[in-house]
Amino acid sequence: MAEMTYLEAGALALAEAMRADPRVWALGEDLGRGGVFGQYKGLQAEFGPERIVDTPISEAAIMAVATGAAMLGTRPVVEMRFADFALCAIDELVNQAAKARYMFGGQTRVPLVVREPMGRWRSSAAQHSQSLEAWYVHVPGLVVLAPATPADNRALLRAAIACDDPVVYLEHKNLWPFPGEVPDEPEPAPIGKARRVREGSDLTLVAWSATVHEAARAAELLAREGISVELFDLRSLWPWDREAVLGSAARTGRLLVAHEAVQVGGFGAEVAATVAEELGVPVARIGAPRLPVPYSPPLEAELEVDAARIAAAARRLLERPRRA
Amino acid sequence: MAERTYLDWNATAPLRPEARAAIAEVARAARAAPWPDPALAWTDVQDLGAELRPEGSARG
Repeated sequence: MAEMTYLEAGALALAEAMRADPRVWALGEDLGRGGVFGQYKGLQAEFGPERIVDTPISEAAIMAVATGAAMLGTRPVVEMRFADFALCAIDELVNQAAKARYMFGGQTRVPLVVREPMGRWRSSAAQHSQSLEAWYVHVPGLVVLAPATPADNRALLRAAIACDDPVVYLEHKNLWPFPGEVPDEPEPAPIGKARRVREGSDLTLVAWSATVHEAARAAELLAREGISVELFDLRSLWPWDREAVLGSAARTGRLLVAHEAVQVGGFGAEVAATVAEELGVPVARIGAPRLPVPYSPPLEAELEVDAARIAAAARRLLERPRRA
Repeated sequence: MAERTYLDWNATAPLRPEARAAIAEVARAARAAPWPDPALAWTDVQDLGAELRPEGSARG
């Protein structure tokens, strides 16, 4: 075991994959000097400018080049700097990369990883703070991953690079300095498997990305009140671990989904609806209000899905009878 | 803001002293100004269908 940050774990995963497979390469803006957050530091020195490629400032061009290169047999890792900026490349990702396998009848695959730093990062404001995972989950052909810990950032990025379909890989900016134990040998993190963070019997709580840590704090708050929460880190949003979530909700009789993204049309709605349809148990969601993320800290705090708000949502859900 | 590295990573040329002084003055004024009312987060979004602040959601 080694302790490292979430950022370092991602850098390690990419370096390991590049050492193991010469077809793996990365491209994006500022990669030569280590990436905008430092997550590519030292990689160009090791692998050279032909495998850690600095690009012009054009997300559309980056995604188009990577999609074509993936179809021709390489395994590109695209860096979009901010999930918000990736919207400039949505046509190449959604209309080309996600559809190529289907439209060419399986004659081509697109083994592409799109790294998109997501979420609020203190005072990054409306155009640098969004959580848009639900948009990608909606698109057939895309895999969507959102790790919450250093160990998962290493293991899931390796899994994403090994995947033969395009993967939208959402790393949370607030987690870059987050430390954690990472196994010396990469443990496989199968795409589509949730991680049970905490066992419990009164309520199933599902979260992903940075919200997992707020959800864990909420579970601690509730435990002091005698409320037992079973918490899952979904990790993989598409495919998502229906078996684990449905099994838990069947035992606890209630489901709460918490996410940082806007609640309206969020992926929490899909999880909650699935559990309601399959089990008929009471479900609830908590996400951000449908507002742009403000720059000012007190205004930004209005939108937080933090431990106190998650715990409050759990208490409201517990007031409802187990069976609807 | 001291722990943030984004601006440093993106700086490609040193700022001229007068620009640096102007920025420092604006930052000083901003730091001295009161925080805005949190209710402002719920304004200036759109005319139809704008999100409503849930009752009891205000802090402090």
